[in-house]
Amino acid sequence: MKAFFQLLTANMKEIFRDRMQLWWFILFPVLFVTGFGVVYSGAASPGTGDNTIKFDVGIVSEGEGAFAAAITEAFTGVPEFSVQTRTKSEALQEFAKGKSGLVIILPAELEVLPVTAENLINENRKIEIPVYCRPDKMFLMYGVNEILHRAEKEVLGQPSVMEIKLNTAITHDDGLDNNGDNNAGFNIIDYILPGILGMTLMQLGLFGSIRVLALRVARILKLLGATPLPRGMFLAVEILIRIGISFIQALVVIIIGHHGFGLTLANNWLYIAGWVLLGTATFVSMGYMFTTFARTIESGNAIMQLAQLLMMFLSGIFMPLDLLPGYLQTVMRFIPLTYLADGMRHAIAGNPSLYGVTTDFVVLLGVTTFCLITTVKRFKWE
Amino acid sequence: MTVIEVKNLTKRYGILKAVDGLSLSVAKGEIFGMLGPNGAGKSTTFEIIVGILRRDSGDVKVLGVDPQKQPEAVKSRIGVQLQAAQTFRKLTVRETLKLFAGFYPNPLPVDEIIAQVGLAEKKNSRVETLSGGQMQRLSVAIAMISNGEIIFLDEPTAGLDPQARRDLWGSIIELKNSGKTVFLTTHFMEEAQKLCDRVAIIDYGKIVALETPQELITAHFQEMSLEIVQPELRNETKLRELTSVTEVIELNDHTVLRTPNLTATIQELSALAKALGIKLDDFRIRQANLEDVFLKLTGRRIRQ
Repeated sequence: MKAFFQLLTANMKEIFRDRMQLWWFILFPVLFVTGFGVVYSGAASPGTGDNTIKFDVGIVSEGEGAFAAAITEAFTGVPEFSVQTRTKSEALQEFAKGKSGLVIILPAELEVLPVTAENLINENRKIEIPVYCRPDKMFLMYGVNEILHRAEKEVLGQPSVMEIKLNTAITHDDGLDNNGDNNAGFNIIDYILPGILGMTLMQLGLFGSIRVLALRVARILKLLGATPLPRGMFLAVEILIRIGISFIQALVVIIIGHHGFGLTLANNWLYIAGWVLLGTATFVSMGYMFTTFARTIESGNAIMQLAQLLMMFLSGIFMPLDLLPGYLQTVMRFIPLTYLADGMRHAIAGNPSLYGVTTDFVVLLGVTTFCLITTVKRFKWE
Repeated sequence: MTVIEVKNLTKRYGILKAVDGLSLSVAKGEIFGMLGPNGAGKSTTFEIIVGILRRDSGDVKVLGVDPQKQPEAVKSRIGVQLQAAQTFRKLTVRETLKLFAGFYPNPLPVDEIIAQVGLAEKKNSRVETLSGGQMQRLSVAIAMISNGEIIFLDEPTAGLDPQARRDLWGSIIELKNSGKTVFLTTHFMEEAQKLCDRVAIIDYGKIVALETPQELITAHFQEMSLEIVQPELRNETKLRELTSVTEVIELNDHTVLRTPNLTATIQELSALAKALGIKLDDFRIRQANLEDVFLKLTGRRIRQ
């Protein structure tokens, strides 16, 4: 154990004495999150939506009452939405023809909600809100979710009794406890910042593993191999340090996001930490796997740059997926960062997951396992 | 008592036989040297013995243990310095040695080793600020801190200036005096001759000679060497016609004449110089040394 702690201390000194490492892994994410926070908190405020893309939303109000009207108004207030009220058959026809990508059906039951809510809670029952959403518009679901629940909260002022029922039954998330903020629309910060955190975790995993490559090139790994130090202990220390830095990074990003730009914190820290851990595991193991294909630090850097750029731009963390051509949206489904960003949005801001929390979890775990096995098979100490 | 026993060791890299049926044994308390040109298989043999490289066939026992089967049992009882290996750049000299000391069961005191390799002034400097020679001394210190029964040194004095080299020789002899066995590889003939109790000359993965340095020299040379540095006489074919000379070897910067009869050779040489109209004024006479043995056995100079 003595050797373990000495190696841990030595590695920490090595990293924290290196200004470049600090820059990349702490300051860079801070700048990134601040930059995007500033850009997107401006874009999301009302009145600046003239140039934004519009998404057609069909709303069916079965009860035609005040509650449905309030919700419709809330949707109309979002600059990104172009809202049409339709009958159910009209709306579904348009959806089927692909004329609209999102249809929300507000059942008549909603109008008596203020009266029945208590009963529903006691009976542990929920009102289903059918939502039809094309897969390529799944991105909009977190906004839908937020608007519906906020409206509900304003009317009832108590826990949610509405449950979104997606027509594709991909997923939904209940028990949300969003604080929201004052914007008329959904909070795009809640979409962007968790994605940014996913991205910085990816960078940390990929570029952090260059260190192992550097140690190999400098024959330090070989020298350590000639001592009685068990190799597993060396790797354990490396991974522990990566996890530590990930947590610092996540904490910094979330705190800046929350206090500076109104990032919603919907879940407890332990749950968030679990996702940070999973993301770190995924990209650290992927980074290690890539280093086994590189002979020099330069080629290692090139591989990481390529992987990072591809994942950064094809994972939908920066832009609405509707801007991407269809084939790229297919590519996106094969990018692990897509699922980490999705999981992070769910874990931090409580957004409904686009692909399903279970899918996110399984994909990331699968990628981690694959990368670990490949790394163990290919890894060389010299 | 034998502390290292290697029998019929082989190691291939693809079609290249890096080590080809090599056998040697090292006794407790001796300084054993491996000499060989680059690519001769020295480092491969070295790394197999210290347990960081797998062998293809043959037997290796270090302190009675097979380093491939029980690497940790061997590694905790030996100290190793590797050629061209660096250490953590941002740590200080002292921190580095403390870290490595922590890996071994009975390490030596850090400050003692720092003083011994002459790094006392640099002990709080970061590794990245060390010169090549200082880095080299640190890497030898890493081997010494282990307090291992055998200290393995791969090219320990490479990159050192002559004074630092002699200082380090002193440390290596002290290791021997304190009862340790030293196994080293070297490019320096002088080093092998001065330090080593026995020397193995390796070429193409095989041992071509294994004796004490003096035995090697007397076994291969009863002759004296006469070295001609003068450019006018270099590559002169008539040198080969001198009757008292047994061998003429042209090297990069001088020509070596071997002779059992030095007086006769000098007379013949001055006659030749006179005939060619050259004033004979730049030649050296010396006894054969390990370098001559090496050259004779491998056909190459060790450092080219």
